Amino acid sequence: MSTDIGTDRGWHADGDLLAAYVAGTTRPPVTASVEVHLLNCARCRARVTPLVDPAPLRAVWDHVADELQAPRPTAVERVAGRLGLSGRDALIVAAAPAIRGAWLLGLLLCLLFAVIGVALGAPNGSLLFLAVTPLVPVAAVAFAYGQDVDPMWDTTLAAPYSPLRLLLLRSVSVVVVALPLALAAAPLLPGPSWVAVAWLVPGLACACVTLALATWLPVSRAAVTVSGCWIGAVIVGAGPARDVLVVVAAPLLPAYLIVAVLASAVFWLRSDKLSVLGRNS
Amino acid sequence: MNDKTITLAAVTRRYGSATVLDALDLDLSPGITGLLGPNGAGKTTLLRILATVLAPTSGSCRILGRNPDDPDQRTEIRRRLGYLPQESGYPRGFTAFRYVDYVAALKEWTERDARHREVRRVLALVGLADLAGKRMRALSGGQRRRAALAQSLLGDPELLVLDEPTTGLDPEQRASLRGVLSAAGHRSTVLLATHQTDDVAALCERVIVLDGGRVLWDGAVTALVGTAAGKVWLADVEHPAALSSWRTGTGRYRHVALDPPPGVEIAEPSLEDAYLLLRATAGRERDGVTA
Repeated sequence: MSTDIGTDRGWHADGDLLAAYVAGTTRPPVTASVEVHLLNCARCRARVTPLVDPAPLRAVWDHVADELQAPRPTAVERVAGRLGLSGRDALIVAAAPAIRGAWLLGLLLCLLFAVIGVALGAPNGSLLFLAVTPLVPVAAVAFAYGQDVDPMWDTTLAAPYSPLRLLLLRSVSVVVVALPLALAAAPLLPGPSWVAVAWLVPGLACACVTLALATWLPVSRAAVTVSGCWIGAVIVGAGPARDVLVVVAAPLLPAYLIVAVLASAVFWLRSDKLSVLGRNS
Repeated sequence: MNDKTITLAAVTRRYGSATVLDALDLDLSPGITGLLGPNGAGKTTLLRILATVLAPTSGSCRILGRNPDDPDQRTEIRRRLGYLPQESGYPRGFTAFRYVDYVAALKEWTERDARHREVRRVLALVGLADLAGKRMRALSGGQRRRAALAQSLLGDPELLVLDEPTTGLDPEQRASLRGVLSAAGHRSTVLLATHQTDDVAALCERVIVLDGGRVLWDGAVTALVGTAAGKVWLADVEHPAALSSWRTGTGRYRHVALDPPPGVEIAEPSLEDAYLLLRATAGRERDGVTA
């Protein structure tokens, strides 16, 4: 193996020398000489290229490009990751219009008004609270998917990711954000302590009915229909006596659960309708 | 050998009482097929059906050898599909990289490093490598369109359904995208809906013209251009009965008409001329039927 590096342009490193240089087995002065030569000699540079394994270099370049271009995970993605979602699912939840847009803010504001109503002991505070809070999961479903709220819905549908999974992940993520506020305020409600969590049961039923209806109607219309029915039921149930706790009375709770189970079954059986538009019949 | 990647039989799509696609029969094979037609012809509806986003009201589809009515087979189609919708929104605040990365996540690129490599590859293909970190809302219309096109190219899909991919692009961008699309046409079945007849002439071997939800023409681009032979002419004065006529840069009038007057100076027809003639012929036949 030649280790004599000439400086004149007529000399070129031979194959063995280049191989040893790439393998890192040349002595330091020879390594330095080869490097200087390579800087000045296109022919030897071309010969050294096929000797280099591109994988580690590509990995370095990918890392540099990622550092420069790939965005840092957002706060939502990090929280979703902590809660056990994979990086991909966290990215998909974080892209939900409800999480990113003004929807969540609006929802939280509505909830806040209801909470303030209860806290200040307003005459209809409890009515407002019980009318609004069980609709939080309904709003979560309404904001989770569909052409009305997701500007990329056509692109999303054409991808193999399950729309059912997307809808449930996003709905749950909105509920997870909004629920603590509702639960924190619930103990302020008049009546027995179990009322503080009892509203979750009709909330679940409303969400399940919305999901089931959304296999026939656009999700926004399904949500508006269910919300209208629930608010009507609360007002009628409360009656002139304003006994608002009637709608979460103990005998009604199993009925809500039955509705929730039946609606879930309907949704499950018809969930493929969500995967393609124009098949709602 | 049966090389049909898409077969549609009697596919009809109605919205209420309006019939947008009317018993359409169509076969597609690998290569680039252009889809022309006026607004409201049913191009976007056809593309949405091929992208498995929209179900037909009736009729049967077979896409990449699979039935899109079956949930599992539909997912298999979606794994092999790239789709650029006509109007592609984007989540606010996303950068171009994040937007394409998000679609890649939906397309089952689970491993982060491989996904990011693929995102960089498709962004480079559409010439957005240097703008990857820029927010979508800060990009120009043409740049956003290219980012949307990039997401459709993820994973070199077997079927590429593109709804007006060159809208808003300048001539250089369109020329460079033609390179990308023609390369895709060597590997895949590409259906390209557009209003740009010159894109079809430059890229496609076959062209389909839709009108009123029906196929008005399906055949070679050269054959369609051939139908306009002898029906395009140049003259010093404007001919009032021409289907279309305009004063060119040389000061002479270029005319397109079904029945050119005798003795005129015949010019070389373009695909646009042939398209205009085809539509006019169809209109005349329709009027003849109703009269």
